[in-house]
Amino acid sequence: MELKFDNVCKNYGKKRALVDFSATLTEGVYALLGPNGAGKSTLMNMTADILRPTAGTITYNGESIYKLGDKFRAVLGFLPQSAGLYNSFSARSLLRYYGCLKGMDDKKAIEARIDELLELVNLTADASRKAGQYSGGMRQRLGIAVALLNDPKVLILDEPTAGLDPKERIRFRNIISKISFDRIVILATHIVSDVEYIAKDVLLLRQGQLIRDTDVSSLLAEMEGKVWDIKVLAAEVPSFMQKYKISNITKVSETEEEAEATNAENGLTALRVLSDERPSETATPVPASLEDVYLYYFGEVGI
Amino acid sequence: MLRLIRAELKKMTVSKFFLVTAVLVGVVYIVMLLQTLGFFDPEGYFSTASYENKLFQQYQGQSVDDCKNEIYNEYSRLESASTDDNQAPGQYGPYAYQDRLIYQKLHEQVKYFDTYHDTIKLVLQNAMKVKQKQLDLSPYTNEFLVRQSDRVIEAYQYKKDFSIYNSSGWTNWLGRASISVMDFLLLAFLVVVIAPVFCSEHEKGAFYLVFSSRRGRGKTFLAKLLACTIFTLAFTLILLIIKFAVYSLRFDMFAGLLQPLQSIPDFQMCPYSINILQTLLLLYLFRILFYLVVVFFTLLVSCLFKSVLFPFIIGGAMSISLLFLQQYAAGYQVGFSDINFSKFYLFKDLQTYSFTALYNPLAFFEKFDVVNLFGFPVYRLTVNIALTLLLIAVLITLAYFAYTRQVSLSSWNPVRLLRKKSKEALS
Repeated sequence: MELKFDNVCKNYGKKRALVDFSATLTEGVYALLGPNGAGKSTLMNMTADILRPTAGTITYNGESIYKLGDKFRAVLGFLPQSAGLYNSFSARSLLRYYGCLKGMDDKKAIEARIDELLELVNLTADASRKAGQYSGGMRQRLGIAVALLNDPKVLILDEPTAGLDPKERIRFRNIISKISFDRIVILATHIVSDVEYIAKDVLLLRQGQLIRDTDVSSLLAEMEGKVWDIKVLAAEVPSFMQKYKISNITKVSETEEEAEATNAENGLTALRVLSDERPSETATPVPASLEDVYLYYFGEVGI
Repeated sequence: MLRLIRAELKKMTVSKFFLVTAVLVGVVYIVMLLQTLGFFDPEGYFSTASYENKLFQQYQGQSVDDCKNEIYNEYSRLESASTDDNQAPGQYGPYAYQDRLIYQKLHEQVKYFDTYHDTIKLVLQNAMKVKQKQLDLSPYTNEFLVRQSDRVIEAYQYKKDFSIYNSSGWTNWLGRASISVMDFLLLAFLVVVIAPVFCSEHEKGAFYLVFSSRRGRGKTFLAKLLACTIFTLAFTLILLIIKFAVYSLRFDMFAGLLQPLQSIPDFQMCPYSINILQTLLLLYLFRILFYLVVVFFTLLVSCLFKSVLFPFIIGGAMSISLLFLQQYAAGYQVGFSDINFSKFYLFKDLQTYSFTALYNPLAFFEKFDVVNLFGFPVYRLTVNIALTLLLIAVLITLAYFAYTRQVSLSSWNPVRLLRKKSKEALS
């Protein structure tokens, strides 16, 4: 199974939303990372046949997804950022409706699948409630169930964990991890920790261009010697922020010696600094996380 | 596909708003119908109705020749026997007020049936004269008139056999078929139900899921279109059934159902060989066409603007403006201008076309009326239906392209565009 993007471009008038995007995806989870406006949604919308590229081709197992048409959409599951659920429908009715749209004609099979998915997203007890009465997290879980309804081979998830509590996020992560071995999962998120342990590859997009396409461990390895822990006086923090990308700021609980060594009014602050060079002599290198990678590529100095 | 259509229908109708509005509109419709028929009149509405039906039943089904003498005699007797004493409304029994009124109806009907064939004979004679080229016009005009006369002869040559029935119900029904305020409230209800079908998914952001599903845009469009059509058909049929039931409370509506339409005086010159039941079905077919034009126009607006507000406003405005146009605009109803004898007047002739004529198409049945289509006489009714179907096809095609276009996710929304432009100008 292979989903291939070949020099895919998308322009909205004069604006270039995606520029020469090329990648080949096989079974596994692909994390799509990038700031707002990087072209993630455009890429996902084109893969989901919502939009057509201005140039380039997207092929599934060697055939254009647009030529495949409904054959491709039959193996596609899509969870957009705004899942758009009809408030007057119960979860079960809504899944039935989307089952019809997804061409699932066997009534018994669809009911069995709905039961299975409601269980999976922990909505069995609320299956008869109207979607309008659902909380944000419940709506998101229902959206996930809709995306998984046709047992898709290509699953596109745009911010799937937005609005979920930590327990549900872990549950979701485990579901994706479990099902990804025989399907292609494209997952766009700003919650980087969601994909750190499950992503096979990370695709970094900036201003419509693919700047990195590699696996998580390589990305983390590349960051070796670029993430630093450093303790500074609170008064020095602004100057560090002006010079470096800071991924974390924590107030340190001082020991007696440290308290003596410093002015009582100036406590110590621990900074996690992203820099190609050692920011100060007292800085110690630490292992990078995917969040550090994200900030390294997309973060801004002074924020 | 059937399951998808069913799901779309469910989506249209499963909401508290729909249920409440439907019940409200239904109740108002029934009350207005009853009001029209004088149901709330305290002066013996039911007793008059039952007495009238009973008297007519005495002769019902008999041929005119068999009973005309008896009816003429009885009516003369009642006329001569009427005195000031028995002329008070509400008086029943021999020689009383109601007796005389109802016999008057019976008498008029029999007299009409009796003289009908003489009138038609004159029409046929006239057509034969024209066919024999007694008119000295241009060769083209003569050629057209000969063809037209053939049509007239074809239409009126068959003798109609009538039997006695109470035609008051059907006369009333057909006489009140014109557009009323209530009809436009019903139209507005239809618009309100139909408007969100194509744009609610854009408003809720569900179109991502709909368009990326296996059925895709094309099939979803088709399913929605069919769901709207089915809803319109069901809606029109329910109105028909309600109206029939309400009228049946007052008149014996089943009597005369299979009588020729020409048995109702206003339709004496109807050129089509159809009975009242067939007329009724045709009327509702045309009304469905009328509704469908409005529905598909609403759908087009819905697809173009991707916002439920515009179809509401435009559909509502359309309903109201139709009402006013129907009342005041000259030539808006079917125009019965003289036939133009030149083929070059075709477009002038067709200017009288209006799809709203299909809402009250009785005028098409009242007289022989053809359009000169390149020298061939074509019934105006046929031309009107063909043009309406063409209009529907154009609306559906435009709506299809508007719904399935992949150019941009953003809708063409003039308000949004205006706001954007004004912001840009201000900045």
